[in-house]
Amino acid sequence: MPSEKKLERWTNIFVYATTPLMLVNLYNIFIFVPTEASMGIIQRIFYFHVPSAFIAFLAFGVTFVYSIRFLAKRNMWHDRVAYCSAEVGVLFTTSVLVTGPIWARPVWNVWWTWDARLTSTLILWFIYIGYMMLRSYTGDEQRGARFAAVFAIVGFVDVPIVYLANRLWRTLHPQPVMFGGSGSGLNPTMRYVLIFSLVTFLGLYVFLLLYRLRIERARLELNELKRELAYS
Amino acid sequence: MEFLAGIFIWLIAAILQTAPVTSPTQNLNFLFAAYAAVWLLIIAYLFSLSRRQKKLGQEIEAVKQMQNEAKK
Repeated sequence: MPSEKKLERWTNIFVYATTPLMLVNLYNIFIFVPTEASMGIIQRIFYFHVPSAFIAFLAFGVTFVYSIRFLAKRNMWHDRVAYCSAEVGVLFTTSVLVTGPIWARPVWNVWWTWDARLTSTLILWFIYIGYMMLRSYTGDEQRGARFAAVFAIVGFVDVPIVYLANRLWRTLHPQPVMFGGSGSGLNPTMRYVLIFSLVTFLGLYVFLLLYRLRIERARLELNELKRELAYS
Repeated sequence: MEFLAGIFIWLIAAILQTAPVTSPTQNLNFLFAAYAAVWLLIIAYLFSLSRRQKKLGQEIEAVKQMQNEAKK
């Protein structure tokens, strides 16, 4: 388990690194990037909708990896990293599920449609909400961590389904603009703004994860102190 | 906090209901609403983290104090 000082130092580094990136990102999205021809100004939602989705995938990927590591080594810190990353992942998935319908309303004329991409994303959100609820309702800490790790590993199956949904099925959701094969692609300025936004959201994710881990560390310390007090 | 969040959500909903859907201004409102919603989520999460951290800090201090008293 990393020391509190180390976690605090890295949290501060990411705050100071991400804050200016956020400001430049705002400038890029609202002023710098050209307006898309067919959808107009509303298309600018793309620059925080897509990064939110990618970061949610990354967060659940971290949960997946740390759940496997927990099952292999039974190190409680790995379980905590998995849990904290899932919580931050749920935040970013919520952001995707909120911004998506706001974008869909003026473009598709509906807030929501049960197509493969949207439905699988909603299922992904429910899976990780379920994961967090499982953690809260299981009394025995070790057993709860074991159940949750298995749940997280199985639940991760939905991530590639969400990613591939608009490639595998006909959806109202647009086809991929990055790595989508022939006919896909972005204007170079738009691509730069998207990549910049991805980096910014990555910084935000790492900051939130570190901050959340500091709280988990404090919780472990508190449990330890309570145990010592009970034995003294 | 919940009250402010409620007002904010109500404001976003009000913005979304103004002007006809096809007008460019309405799209600007949608863009604003989406961005505001993302920031609201992040700020609310940060607020909840800071509250949890403060509460845990207080609990740790209280337990440490109890430990010191037990040693005496």
